[in-house]
Amino acid sequence: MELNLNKLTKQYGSKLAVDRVTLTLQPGLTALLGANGSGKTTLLRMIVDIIKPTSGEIFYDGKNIMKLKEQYLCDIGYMPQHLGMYPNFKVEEFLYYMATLKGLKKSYAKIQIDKLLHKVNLEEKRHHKIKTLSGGMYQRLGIAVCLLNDPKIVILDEPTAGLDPKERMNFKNLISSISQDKIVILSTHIVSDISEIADRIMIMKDGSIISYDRPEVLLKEMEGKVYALTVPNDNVVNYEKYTIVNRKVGREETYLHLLSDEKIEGATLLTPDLNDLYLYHFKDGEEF
Amino acid sequence: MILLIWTEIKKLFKNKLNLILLLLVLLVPLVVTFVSQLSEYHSSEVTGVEMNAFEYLKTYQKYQQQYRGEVTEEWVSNLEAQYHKLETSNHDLNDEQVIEMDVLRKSIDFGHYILDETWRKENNGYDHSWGYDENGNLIYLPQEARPGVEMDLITHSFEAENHIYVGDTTSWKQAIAAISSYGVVFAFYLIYLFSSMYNKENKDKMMSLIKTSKNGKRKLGIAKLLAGLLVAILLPLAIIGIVFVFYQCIFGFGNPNVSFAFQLFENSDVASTFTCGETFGIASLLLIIGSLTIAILSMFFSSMMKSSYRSLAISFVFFILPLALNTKIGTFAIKLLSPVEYLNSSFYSFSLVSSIGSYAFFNVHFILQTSIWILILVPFIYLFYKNMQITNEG
Ligand SMILES: Nc1ncnc2c1ncn2[C@@H]1O[C@H](COP(=O)(O)OP(=O)(O)OP(=O)(O)O)[C@@H](O)[C@H]1O
Ligand SMILES: [Mg+2]
Repeated sequence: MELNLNKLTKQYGSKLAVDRVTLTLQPGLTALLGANGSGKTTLLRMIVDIIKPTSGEIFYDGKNIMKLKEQYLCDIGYMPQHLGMYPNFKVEEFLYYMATLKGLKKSYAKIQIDKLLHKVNLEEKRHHKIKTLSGGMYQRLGIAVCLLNDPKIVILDEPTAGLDPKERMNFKNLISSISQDKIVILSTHIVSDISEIADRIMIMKDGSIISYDRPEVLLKEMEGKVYALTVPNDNVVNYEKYTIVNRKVGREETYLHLLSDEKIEGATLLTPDLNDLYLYHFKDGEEF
Repeated sequence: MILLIWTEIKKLFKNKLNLILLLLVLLVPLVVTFVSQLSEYHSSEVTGVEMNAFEYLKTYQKYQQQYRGEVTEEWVSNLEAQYHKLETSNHDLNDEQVIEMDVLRKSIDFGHYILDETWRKENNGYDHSWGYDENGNLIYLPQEARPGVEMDLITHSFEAENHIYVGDTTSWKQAIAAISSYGVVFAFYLIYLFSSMYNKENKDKMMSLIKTSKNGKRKLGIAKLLAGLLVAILLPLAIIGIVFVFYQCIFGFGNPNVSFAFQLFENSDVASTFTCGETFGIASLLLIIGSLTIAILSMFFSSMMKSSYRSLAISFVFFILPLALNTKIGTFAIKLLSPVEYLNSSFYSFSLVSSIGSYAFFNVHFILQTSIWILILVPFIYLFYKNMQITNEG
């Protein structure tokens, strides 16, 4: 199972939202990291075929998705960034509605709904209206909807937005549990959401994929670029030119956690983590 | 597919506001019509008797039943004899007898009108009133001549009919008036309901979930269309049903074969060789056809536009602006789209639809026009839905 993107481009007026993205996706969890406006949503929307690329194409197991049409959608599960669900529907009723739209047989839908409600831990909310769900429950229901048709390709656009740390952890476990035999793409700008569980990491910047590999490989590239040192408070200005990941100001001295391409005298090397990686690529003061 | 259609219909009425408005739309015109019908016969100046409107109508109905029959020379002379007996009785007439005489007089008039060509010509059709000559005898007062073509049409159509019946028209008259009174309110509701058919999912941010599901991509576009058209047929049927049951309970319906012209005759209004039953059918058909036209056009606008407010506004402008402009063409346009309006005006003004000829013409015309709209717009609706892109949800 393979998804190939070939020079995928989307242009809005003069703005290149996605710029000639070419890559191959395979089963496992691919994390799509990128700052706001880097083109994540646009890329994912093209992958699920709700917007047409300005140019370029997508191949699913060698076949152009434009030709596959509905057949392709049978294998797609999508959770949009701004997830809308009818607030007046009951949880179970909404799942049945979506099952109808996804063209599932009623008997199969029932099996899937029971299984997924258990999986996302919403069994006792089955007969509650969607508007009564908390933010975390709402997102979990979104995942259930996404997985209803047992998709082979799962696209999650910032599924963890607005969740508290505990929900975030649950979510992480849930996603890692589904991603062995599926192509899962999860976009986020919160690195901790995907650390430990991502099989591959894709970093997107200004519409282009600037790096795409297994986390170990990417982290290896970061080795020798992450430093820690403690300096007197009045000396901190000398280090402002580096990307400061973290600083802890004490009474007289400040602890600094920095990223630098060149060696910093007197600093100790740290083992890089994904946060360092992310900040290394978005060091120009971009929000995250 | 059936499941998809059914869920679309359910979704339409799951919205509480839609449901409440539906109840209002179904009931308010009926209640208003009924109340105004009663108040029409409220004062003794109109009815000539000291009875409340309901009693008056009941009594009137009773005598219509009593003197019902096929229009023949014999039937008319029987009625005339009865009328004469009442007229020449010495004692003062009681209220019931006043009504009885009224029914007799109108039935006799109608009989003459059907049977006697000379009478018909002399009296300029039936549009006359009663008065006294200088000797104090009751006579018909001639009124303005009807347009020649129209008179010919009426005459010919009645001569072509073999059997014309007279009888109880109370419920038919009121029920048909009630159906017509739904016209505008119902049209507004339909516009409201259907102009968000294809784009309300944008507002609900549901579009991307829908368009990434197998049936949501294209099939749902058809399902929505069929659901819309089905609703556009079922709602008018519901109205017709409610009206029918209501008047059945209040007055009960008389024989549907009674000439509708006789009913109109009482109002000194429009001629038609249709029976009451047929006219009720025509009214129902017009309501359904109007409803379909509005549905298809509103759905078309909603498939064209991302925002349901915008398509609602466009639909209203399209249907209402011609009225607001108040030009002949404008009123004509809206009436073409909502033919119930035609039916409505036929009760109040003679000039628009006045005879069987135009009734029949407009029915065919409306059916054709609605079919053409549907045929033209369906492919566009499908295309617009299929190519809808989800760019900025949320
Ligand atoms: N419909 C549109 N019309 C015009 N420009 C758009 C449209 N959609 C996106 N863009 C632009 O394309 C760029 C990429 O947007 P996109 O939503 O893909 O970013 P993102 O990485 O998902 O951001 P975020 O993290 O905020 O969700 C942005 O500059 C955005 O302004
Ligand atoms: Mg986004």
